[in-house]
Amino acid sequence: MLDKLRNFFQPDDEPPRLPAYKPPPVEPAAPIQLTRVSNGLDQFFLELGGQDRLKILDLCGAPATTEYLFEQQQIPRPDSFYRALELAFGNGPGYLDRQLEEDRVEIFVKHTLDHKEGEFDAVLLWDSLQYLRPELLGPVLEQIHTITRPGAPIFAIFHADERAEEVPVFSYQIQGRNQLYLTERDRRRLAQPFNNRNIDRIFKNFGPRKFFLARDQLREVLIWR
Amino acid sequence: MSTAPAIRSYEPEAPRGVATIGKAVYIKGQIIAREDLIVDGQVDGTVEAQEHRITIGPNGRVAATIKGRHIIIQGQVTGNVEGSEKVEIRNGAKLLGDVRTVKFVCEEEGTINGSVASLRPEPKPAAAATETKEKAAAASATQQTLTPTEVKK
Repeated sequence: MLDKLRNFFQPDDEPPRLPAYKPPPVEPAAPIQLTRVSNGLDQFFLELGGQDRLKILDLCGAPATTEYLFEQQQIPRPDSFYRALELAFGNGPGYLDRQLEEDRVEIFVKHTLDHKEGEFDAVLLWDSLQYLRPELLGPVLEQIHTITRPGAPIFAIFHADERAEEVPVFSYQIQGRNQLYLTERDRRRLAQPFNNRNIDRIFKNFGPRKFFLARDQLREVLIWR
Repeated sequence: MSTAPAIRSYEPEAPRGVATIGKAVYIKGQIIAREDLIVDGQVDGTVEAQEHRITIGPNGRVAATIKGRHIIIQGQVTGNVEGSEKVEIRNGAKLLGDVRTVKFVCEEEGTINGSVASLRPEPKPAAAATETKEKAAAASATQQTLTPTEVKK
């Protein structure tokens, strides 16, 4: 009887089979959507000086931004820069390696920023530059320098966290003179860290720069052509 | 011997005052419409309906300059668009060209590659006439005050 009970609790040498552990399903993080005050954008509009019918190149090309600029009697030129970047270099992890190919870089710059010399009175770069490695960044900035008139304000945003491996790619929509609505549409690896010294260096051929500090991880910069 | 009345097949009634270019139609050339126009087919050339609404449907593939009062784009357009009242780029639409209009709307999934310039609204004829009369009266008054005789006084 005792043997039977012993055998019941210790039936054989096989370890008891436990059900395999299944981790609870991890739901993907919801895309970031936020409204933020932008002092850099406020200064950008101040630089436009209330003039109307200025031609503005907008590399993010969000419909709300286009409509806002249009209401301000400006001439926005929305540009699908991100889409062109994906088409030319892909959006997978190898997109930075493909930016080393000179032919691709030349075709990209020629097709994306093919405008007349001094055509634009202002440029909204948003955060587009931080996904370009130096081999692509140089020709892109050279072309932007060519197609903007001297003294034109250029607004750019960089992620302040230099150690971040991936950062959210935002769609920037202007809601008001100093108010932005950000929607995350992707995540990407940064091409290179952009601290104040680096930003100064890449815009060395341009005019003065003004940095705007913010509490979040975004660093706003206004550059004069 | 009686015969059953023939049953007429149902045909949807087209809205009055609207011309439609169906999705199986390809037109090359100039279209000038004196009524509202819906383009759901393919057009290469020019589309004009100056006082009317032009709608490029979801199946529309237009490579043309488009001029109208109110232009709605739901399909694909390559060419410049001029709306004397309003231009709308709807979700899923793609426009490769410049826009000139008074009111502009672009939905979130609408794509535009070109500049968007504001067109000043045209003054209403009555107001314009009144303004012209006022200007003429002011000009004649100015001329009268500057006549040599008055200056001598």
